[in-house]
Amino acid sequence: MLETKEETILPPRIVKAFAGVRGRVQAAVAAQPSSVSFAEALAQIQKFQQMTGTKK
Amino acid sequence: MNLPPLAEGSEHQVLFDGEASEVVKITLPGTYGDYYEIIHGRMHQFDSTPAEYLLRMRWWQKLFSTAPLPLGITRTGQILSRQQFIKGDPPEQEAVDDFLTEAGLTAVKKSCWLWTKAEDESNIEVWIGDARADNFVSATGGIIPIDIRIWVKPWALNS
Repeated sequence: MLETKEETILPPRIVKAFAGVRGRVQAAVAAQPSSVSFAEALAQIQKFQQMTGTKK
Repeated sequence: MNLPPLAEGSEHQVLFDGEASEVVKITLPGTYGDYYEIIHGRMHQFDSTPAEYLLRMRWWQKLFSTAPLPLGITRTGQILSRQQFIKGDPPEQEAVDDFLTEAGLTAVKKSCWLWTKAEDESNIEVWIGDARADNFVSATGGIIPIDIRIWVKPWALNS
């Protein structure tokens, strides 16, 4: 798929085009709790697996 | 590395680092993800190379942030990366589709979770595959991608 070096570099226009959504994601990440326990993480994973019926 | 296992999927074994509230992802042996192409109207899946797997993380970070940070590679060729654990709930697929639409992406085959965005002046297309709801988290503040497949190809290849 990757035939030239140029294909590995994202043009600035593309990066700029995603600035809005990237900013919203970064804001949502900033609102994340500072710590998550293993039990909480495991419970969340199981919740996702129940949703899809598959392992993530 | 002595971390408890959290999950195992089709691509990674996932360990949990409680001190950092991060996950450590280890690619399964011989697996570096995949990408998709529409050929004669049907979606085909292709294995990615290790380089493409690493580029996917780089592009994910550049476009969305939240990508795993590559740590290294084992002697057997498994790539390790580290990523913040994102706390939240499974989103509805509609919310994920809205998120991708707001990012300027267009569904190529929504039923196959395949999206693209053309940048004709740069002669390039960004493709996103496997954009299923369970690859995103609905967190306080919005949708956050936790596992997305991104690849780029020249516009000319599609004409």
